[in-house]
Amino acid sequence: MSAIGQSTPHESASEHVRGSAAYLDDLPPIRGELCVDFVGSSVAHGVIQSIDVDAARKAPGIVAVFTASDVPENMFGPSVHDEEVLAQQVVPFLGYPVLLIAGESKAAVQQAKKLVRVEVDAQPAILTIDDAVAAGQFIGPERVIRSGDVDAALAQAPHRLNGEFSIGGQEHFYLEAQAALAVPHEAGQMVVHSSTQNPTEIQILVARVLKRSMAQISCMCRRMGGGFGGKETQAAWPAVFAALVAARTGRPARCVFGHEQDFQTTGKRHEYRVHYEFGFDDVGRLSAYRARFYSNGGFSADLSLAVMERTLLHAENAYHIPNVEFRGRVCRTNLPSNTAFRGFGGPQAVAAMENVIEEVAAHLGIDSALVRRRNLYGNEQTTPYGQPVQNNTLPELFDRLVTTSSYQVRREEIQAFNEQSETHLRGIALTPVKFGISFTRKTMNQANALVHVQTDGTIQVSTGGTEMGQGLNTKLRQIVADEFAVAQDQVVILPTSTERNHNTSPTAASASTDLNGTAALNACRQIKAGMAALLADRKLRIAEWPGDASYSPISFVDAVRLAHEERVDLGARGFYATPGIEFDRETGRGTPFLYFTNGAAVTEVEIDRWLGDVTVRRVDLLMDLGRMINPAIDRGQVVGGFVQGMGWVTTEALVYGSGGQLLSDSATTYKIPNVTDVPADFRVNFLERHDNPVNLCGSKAMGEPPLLLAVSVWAAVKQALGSLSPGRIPQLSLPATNEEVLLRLSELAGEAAGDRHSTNGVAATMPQTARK
Amino acid sequence: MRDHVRFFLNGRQEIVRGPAAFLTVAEYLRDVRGMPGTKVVCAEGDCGACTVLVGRPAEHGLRYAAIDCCIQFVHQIDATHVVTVEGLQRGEMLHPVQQAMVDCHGSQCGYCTPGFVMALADWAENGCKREHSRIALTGNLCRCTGYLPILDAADQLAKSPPAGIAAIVEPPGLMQAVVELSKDALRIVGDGRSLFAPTTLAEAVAYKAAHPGAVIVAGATELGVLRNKRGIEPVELLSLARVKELDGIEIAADVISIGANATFGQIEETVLDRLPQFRRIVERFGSPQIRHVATLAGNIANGSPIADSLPLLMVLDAELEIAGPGGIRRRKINGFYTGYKKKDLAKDEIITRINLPLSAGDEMLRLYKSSRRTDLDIATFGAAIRMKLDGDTIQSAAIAYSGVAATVVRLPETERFLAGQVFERGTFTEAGRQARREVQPITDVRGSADFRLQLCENVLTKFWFDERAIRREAAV
Repeated sequence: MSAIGQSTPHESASEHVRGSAAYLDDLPPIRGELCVDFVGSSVAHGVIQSIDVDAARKAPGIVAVFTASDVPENMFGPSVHDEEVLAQQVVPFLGYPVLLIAGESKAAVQQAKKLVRVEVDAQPAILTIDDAVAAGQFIGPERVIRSGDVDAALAQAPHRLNGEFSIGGQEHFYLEAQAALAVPHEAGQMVVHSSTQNPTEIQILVARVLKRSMAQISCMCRRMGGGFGGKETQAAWPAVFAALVAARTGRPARCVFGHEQDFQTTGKRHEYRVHYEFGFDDVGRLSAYRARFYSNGGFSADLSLAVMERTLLHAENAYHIPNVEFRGRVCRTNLPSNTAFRGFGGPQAVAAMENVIEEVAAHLGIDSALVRRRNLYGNEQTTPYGQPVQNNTLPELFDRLVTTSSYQVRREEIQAFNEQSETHLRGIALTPVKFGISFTRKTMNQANALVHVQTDGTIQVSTGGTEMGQGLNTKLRQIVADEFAVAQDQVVILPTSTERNHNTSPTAASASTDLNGTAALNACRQIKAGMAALLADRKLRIAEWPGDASYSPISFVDAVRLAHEERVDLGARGFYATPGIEFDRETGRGTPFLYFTNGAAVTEVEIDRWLGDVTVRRVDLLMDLGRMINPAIDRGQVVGGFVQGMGWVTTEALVYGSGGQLLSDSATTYKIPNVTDVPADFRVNFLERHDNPVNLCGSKAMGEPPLLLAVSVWAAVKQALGSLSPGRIPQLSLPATNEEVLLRLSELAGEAAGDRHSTNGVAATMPQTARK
Repeated sequence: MRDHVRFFLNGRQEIVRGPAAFLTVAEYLRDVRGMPGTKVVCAEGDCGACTVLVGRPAEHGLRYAAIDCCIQFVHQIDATHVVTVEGLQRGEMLHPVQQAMVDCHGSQCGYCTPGFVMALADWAENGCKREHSRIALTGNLCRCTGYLPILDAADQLAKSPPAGIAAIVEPPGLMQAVVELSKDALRIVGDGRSLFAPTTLAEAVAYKAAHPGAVIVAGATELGVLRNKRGIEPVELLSLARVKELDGIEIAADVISIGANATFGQIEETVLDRLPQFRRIVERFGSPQIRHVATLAGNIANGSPIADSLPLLMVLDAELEIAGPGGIRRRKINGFYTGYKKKDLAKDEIITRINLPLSAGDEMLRLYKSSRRTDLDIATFGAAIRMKLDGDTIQSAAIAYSGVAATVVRLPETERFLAGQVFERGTFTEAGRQARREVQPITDVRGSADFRLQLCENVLTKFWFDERAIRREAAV
């Protein structure tokens, strides 16, 4: 039986449940190991006046204190080197690391931190998108994608609307905080164990900061306790902190962020503000859509420009709109640098588009699913950036889901319910997704893999891909086992190490199985070719392999032993570079994606009219994931991604104080979905018998796309609010917290009654949506 | 009197002396014992990654309950049997809970998994009731799976419930040893800190009089957080856990009397049928892990303005029994709080008992809580509304709100307004406006002042709708 298509449990499942799967802070202490922590700025923006570390240096158990002048190369950063390891003069956000303390124990370091005095002359801080736009504080150039003539189409459109939409950020909330352990070796060499999605970048940055060669530095990662994009670039700080201490003291050093520290100093999903206008006809067909996206990038570039690029590439979501213009700018603010987060700018784009759809439907008083269906991409239509939409399953997904979710019947029931209920409102929304698979930066679409067949017939595999729970290693095992026709437990996936796989891309963009799996397959085939030639020569064949039936069958392990005896190479390094992709970001045109992953969701919500609480009553998901390599793992990604997205659009509010301090900085104040938030009726299905001819095993990537389906939750809330005053378009920011919903309800009720006593404006801490 | 901590860890006795007794259990496991299977994420009882089972003497052997061991001190687990994720398997054989998690793809990144395994083991210990699986897991956060596969694991277990923890992991003689240990008073000193756990109230009162600075430790769900998050650690601790006279809950015809040692978990089991509304609030009060250790007396003594239990106690006009050098005094909870976490409790006094007068059967009593997330969240706003009708006329009303002032407050003007009014929607709309004028909430991380004001207003209308629905049902 082929290993492909099996629902094999996660390769670490039995270690997970025993508590024996080791994460970075679980690695046993190494003799002489130091504990490293940092002291951060107390203001959001300012100039350092003085740093007094004398008392801390003399504190018991303290081995070293380092400031910016102790760092060989203080400027670093993932894309451009616009960040300082430790602030030299200017602190660009509250909590920015100013100095490092290394000690014999956590307790000693915590005590010493209290003895440090850092004086900072506070400067005015820019915290919001509005303030940054007003001050002209941007990172990088404006990017534009356009097609057709928006102005002309708007002028001719029977209906046109415009507005502004606020979309909140999201904390990754990986359960394992950022962490690293640096172990110095001879001749300037160092091994850095890091909880990172990007070992090669850790290698590059550590080499840079220490002014050592890349050849002297290795990075290893066995697994992460969650990543979600948050460890694509931002695992760097603890890694360079530990490496710096290890280099300067000659002792192993471990740096594990506290969770509040992690919340306060690492980036999140970007907060967005969207200004939009659109034109449509009487049946809801969109002829023009213009959107200007502003993202809150934080203090440095990080990946913000690439995130914005993906926003522009997903701004039309699944709809063919003949005339569009999408502009994006990244705002520079005095906040931690916002970064990759599952969806990478796509979710914000899709939320903005689906907001437009809901407004079209509310304005015309028609079913929003009808509006969506009328605008959905057909086959061979072309995206605004010029890529044809091929092998398109959107219409099939859409129509099937309408049927299987009993959408029409339920919509009518909801309308009836809303007419009679004085205590609750319900809403239902069907939103599709079309997510482009490939890194938009061409270089990153490459991978290498090492496969070693041992003489006992077992196989070691390593790639540059990292395991953060998504099941990459499990699938790699299936792919290799299938190719050699051996049992899956014969295959061992080694911890990710730059010593085995170099120049690797981050485990990101949903594409890691595609890239690393194809590279591994390539390596397997090289080994097989060598073995097959030898076997044919001896008139032998491996029973499970295709071949000449007249040859004598032997077992895989006997064949391996024979190959070794006869000096046939049983190891290979495979390589893969995604073919046929090209994108010119200056012109905003090209074919950036190998293919699209499609899906659709129907979500029904209920709002408590008096408390504003939102309950998700039922969710139906349908996705096209081609031929799934591991259906259970794919289902896990779909359900997990959706629930994570549900948190983003409902309860996960980032609340900042006026001084730029993150107030929602812990599990107590930042609320990710709990088990009771998961809808009691949650149905997940996949299109069957579909194939993806351009990708590994006919499969499709699914790490990010399901998160975007959670926009259906938000859209259903907006629609439910609309039922309160037909014909009027309700305003609703994202996330739709109970506070946001209740204040919008009071707005609607107050306006309806001509009584405004209860609408004293929305909360100072919450983003406002204002209609132009 | 014992001067050290003794407990059992996965079947083997541990002896802890001196400063280590003041570590959290999670620190002890990870850093002292080198057992990193138990994870620490939030370090404040809000994620359950550090869940372990603690077995304590009960009527029939040890009773195991899940706790968050990151906010539990080593001295608190004296005379218990602690079972961690490392202690569940038998040789290479996974415990059925572990096997179900593997079979149902319940782990992805795996970091929360040990906590879920232990929470599921706790749920299994309580009978594997499928309908309770969600409530049993409210104390555990997972960021990867979306929970469905974990609920699948629960369903698989419900089909063939495993044997109890005791049968699987308790070596012979352990239970008797724990029972013997639990009779000892404790006096533990280490690194300038001390803990005293006497066996009689008289000793406790005398100690508190002699050491007015001593802080009483009960469930430590507040003290543990203060230590982990703000580095605040009292140097002198007084534990009442061994004072038997403060255990237990007594139910009479018109009053429930709750001892200071009674946990929310015990209250939940005992008072369910008498105060059904209380159940949902207790469930939302905190996770099973918290309810297994947190006490009502602790909630009262802490006196947070957003304490979940206080609105109810205020509308019921609960009575506190307070022991001091002069004996026991009784006072009503209304008026007990004088400012933010300030109360009418002298430094030499100890809350020993809470007496809850039960409302008459024909009274209306409802509790409300608004929080950003339904479960395992601190209230933005809470309310208790109690009302007695005479026909269609409101005879009397008692309203208490949390989250709108420095203390939980009653709303005397709104109550006065309601008395004598007709039980109809308009009355409650007007009462809501009145309530809005009576409080001045602040904006904080949990919600804006405007949001809270709107809740103050709306909750009265919501109460009317909820009661009307009941009355209509009754009429049918």
